[in-house]
Amino acid sequence: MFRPFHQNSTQTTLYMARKKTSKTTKKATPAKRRQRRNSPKNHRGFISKATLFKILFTALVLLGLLLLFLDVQIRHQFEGKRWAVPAKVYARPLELYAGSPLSMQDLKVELRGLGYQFVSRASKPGQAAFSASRAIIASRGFEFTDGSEPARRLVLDFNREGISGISDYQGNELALVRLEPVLIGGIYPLNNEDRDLIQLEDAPDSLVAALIAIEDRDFYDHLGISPKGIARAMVANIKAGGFVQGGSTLTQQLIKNFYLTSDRTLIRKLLEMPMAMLLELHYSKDEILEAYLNEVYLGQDGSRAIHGFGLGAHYFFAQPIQELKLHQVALMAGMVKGPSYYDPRRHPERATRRRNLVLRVLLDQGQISQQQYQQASTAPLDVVKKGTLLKEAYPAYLDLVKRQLRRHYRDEDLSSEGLRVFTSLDPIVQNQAEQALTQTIDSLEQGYQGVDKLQGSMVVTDPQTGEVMAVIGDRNTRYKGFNRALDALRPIGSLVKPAVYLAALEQGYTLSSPLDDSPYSLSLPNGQTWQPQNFDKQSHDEVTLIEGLTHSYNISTARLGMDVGLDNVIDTLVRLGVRRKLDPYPSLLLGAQGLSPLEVATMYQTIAANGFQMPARAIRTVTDSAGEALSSYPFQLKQTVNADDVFLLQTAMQEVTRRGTAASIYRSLPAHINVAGKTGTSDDQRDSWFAGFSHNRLAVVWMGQDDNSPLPFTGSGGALRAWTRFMDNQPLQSFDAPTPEDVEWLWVNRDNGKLSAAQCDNARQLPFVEGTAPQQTADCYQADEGDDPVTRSIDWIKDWFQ
Amino acid sequence: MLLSSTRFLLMAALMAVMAGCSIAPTQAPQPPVDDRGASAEPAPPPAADPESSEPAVATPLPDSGPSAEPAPSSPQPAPRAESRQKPAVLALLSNAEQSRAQGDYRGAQGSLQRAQRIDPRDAEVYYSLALTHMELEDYELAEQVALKGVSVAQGNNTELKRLWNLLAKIRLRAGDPAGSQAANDKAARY
Repeated sequence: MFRPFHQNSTQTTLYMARKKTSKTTKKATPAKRRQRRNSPKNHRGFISKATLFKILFTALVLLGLLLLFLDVQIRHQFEGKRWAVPAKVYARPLELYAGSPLSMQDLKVELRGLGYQFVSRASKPGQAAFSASRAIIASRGFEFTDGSEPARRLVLDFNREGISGISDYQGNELALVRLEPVLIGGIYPLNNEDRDLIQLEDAPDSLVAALIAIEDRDFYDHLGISPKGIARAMVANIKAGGFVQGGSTLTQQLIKNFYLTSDRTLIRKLLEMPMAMLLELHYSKDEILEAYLNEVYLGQDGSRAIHGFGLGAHYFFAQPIQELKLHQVALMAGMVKGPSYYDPRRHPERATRRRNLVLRVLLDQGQISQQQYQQASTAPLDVVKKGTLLKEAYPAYLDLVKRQLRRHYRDEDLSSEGLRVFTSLDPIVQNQAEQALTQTIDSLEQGYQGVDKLQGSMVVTDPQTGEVMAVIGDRNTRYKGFNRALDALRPIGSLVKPAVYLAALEQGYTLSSPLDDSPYSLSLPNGQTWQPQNFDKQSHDEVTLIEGLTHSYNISTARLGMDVGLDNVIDTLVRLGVRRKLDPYPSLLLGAQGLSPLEVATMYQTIAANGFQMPARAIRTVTDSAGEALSSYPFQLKQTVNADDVFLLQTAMQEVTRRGTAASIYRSLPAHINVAGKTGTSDDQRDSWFAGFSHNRLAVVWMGQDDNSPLPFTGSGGALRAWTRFMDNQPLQSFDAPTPEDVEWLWVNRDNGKLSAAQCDNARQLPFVEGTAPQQTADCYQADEGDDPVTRSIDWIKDWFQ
Repeated sequence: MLLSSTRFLLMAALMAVMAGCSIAPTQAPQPPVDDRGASAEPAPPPAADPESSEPAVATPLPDSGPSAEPAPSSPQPAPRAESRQKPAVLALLSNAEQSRAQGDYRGAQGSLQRAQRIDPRDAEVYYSLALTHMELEDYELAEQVALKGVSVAQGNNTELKRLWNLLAKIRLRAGDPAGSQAANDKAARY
């Protein structure tokens, strides 16, 4: 891909080489025949001499050709595309600005994910200093597609609301700064090799020094193989009475890893030396060293192979290689000899001994001072715990990103071209969602007998932009398996009801329209009868439409849906963003349809965004390895539902959270924050759902068991708890939808929905689209028979209406 | 997306007509809508320029070097974030304007989407984004973004007027003179 011309020419050369070889064989064959024919007549000695010569000659030609072939191969591979560089996937960059609702705690989470060192004085990039209300960050800078963010020292002041001010080191106020984005994953080729390419000048001098000191002391002097090195190794091995040192040069090691990975045979051993010499013939020491730094194998993370010191620095220390200190580079240089034997996470003592040996050699060679040696050899390993690394920490989100990428990119480009993918994942939000979900699941399992394999998944979006902020596909959030957030289609239960009620509002119903909640049975075409029941098995004669949704009555919803028409309900669902084919069965009205949490999020997002449907976007931009934008995924939206109708529905869904099935929310959330949502429980309580939103967060939570067995709790007993726990930790903005122009607020009677007035008993205000005000009035004057002129006037209005 | 464009246009036209028939809005009893009346004034100068909008931070840095110890600062109440446009948003709006003037529409989109994430209730962001899409001749998206701006700007008459004027322009360019006239009529009401 990088050098197509080169590839072609090599293929031609290869082809010629093969041709030549076959010619030689042809020549040899008649000779042999002649030989066989002549053999009885001639002297044995004479013939064998000639034959020997011919055989030798042939062998020489073959050897020459082999060398030529190797040479071509070496040059091609070295100059051409050397490595498949996996696409890098980044989280959203954290935006820092005055007024941002970011807490110091959350900033620390972000900085930890970026591998910042917490120090008392932040002086070098990658360091941060915190005090009670101030943070000083020495940022690393980053080349974004739309401009570069310089590395600089930032001073952030905090108050209770978040960042109160941000300025640079000189005291100039800054309007907006982006931190570098956290690397959250890669898309790997089939061999699962992962690497971060570095250039020689990126590597600390001490790394190169340590590597050469411990692996190949004569690197800058030898021609690919080092007889001195071999001799030294032999002496050392004899002295130690075992194998302690190998005689392979760095060049030989590179050849071994670079060209000869698959077969471990004698032939490989024999090829190694001439190839190393050929490589030295063509390339400078620096070029070979740079290749070595990027090729070297340093460990295994599950199926992912860690290659190169650039990635090694992130994998072991969560830091860019430029920021590593002596004791860290010495450890990595030492590990080259046996990455799994000296794995600092599994064998810390062994790794420490090896590191200190490297340091000792550096000291002996005079490369470091006694003081440096003292400091580095007594330092801790400083290796970060595997579980704290953010790369590969979000498999469910990465899964979503990959699926969206595959619509536009080929697998081989994703895994080899070094593309950079910028997503909207918010590590802080993801972290809080994970905690809320896993903690709730744990406490539910403790609280209920016989629930021990409870599963859960969650999707969090920004309802104003449609960007996906967090995805959880398994209670074990790092598990790279079945992604329930995308692939588990579970009956959504009452989560479907907002669509039923919206369809009714679109057909001219109002929030105060009376609904019939008396027992209902419907004969189905297949001869069965459908008899929906309310959760508490009670029926009510007449309820208002808003009460039907608030308390999630099944019977009135079923009657309403059948009256509105299944086709209309399906049409509404489609306009809310459900793309799946929906069958017009009556059971659809109560949520028999299975949807994934992501689909539910898309559907509820349309409601949260005042009727504007938006695709759930995980990717913002894709760039090539040089940072040039290849594609961007702009903010897209389309109004598919009338804003007035959505406003009425939003009002009803806020009633659900204030007084309905989700009222427990306000045991935790502050009263001044409006949220809207809906609980969902499927038949026999197999699924526990909650979907709801504030102005700036939309979250969908599902809980259930993979074997589909019933749960001892409903939507509000399970999923809602996780939702509330999550939202309670978010910087929430109240959901304050502006009243559309042609919607008016009127007083109605809470029980029967008839037009009422402020001073009447049991009166409440509800929004009505102009011209849909209730025609009947409540008889509140009977309850309030005074001389109150207002009451009299209401009385008069009532007469007038009748 | 899901709706055919004709169907959508029909709906949009219907909405416009409905809106046209309605009378002045009634006050809602709900907690007051985030009224950004103040922000309807012409935008203050962009904050990208550190000299312009606000003086340097009240807690100067010690000359000796960065210190994580904050200078003693009075526990001032936090400024109401929503009461005015955020300096960050202003800076991005001005960036977007510059990009657009240079014909860098992708850059403008990038800045505006950043602004939208920071303050999705700022109608001016949608105005500028709709303008960018209009310049890119993506009239369908331009219209939708402007309508989103209308939905956000409820109660802010200055912003509503600007947005409906823009919608009139977008529809005219999209070859919908009737829709354009309807938008003009709406704009005239503010």
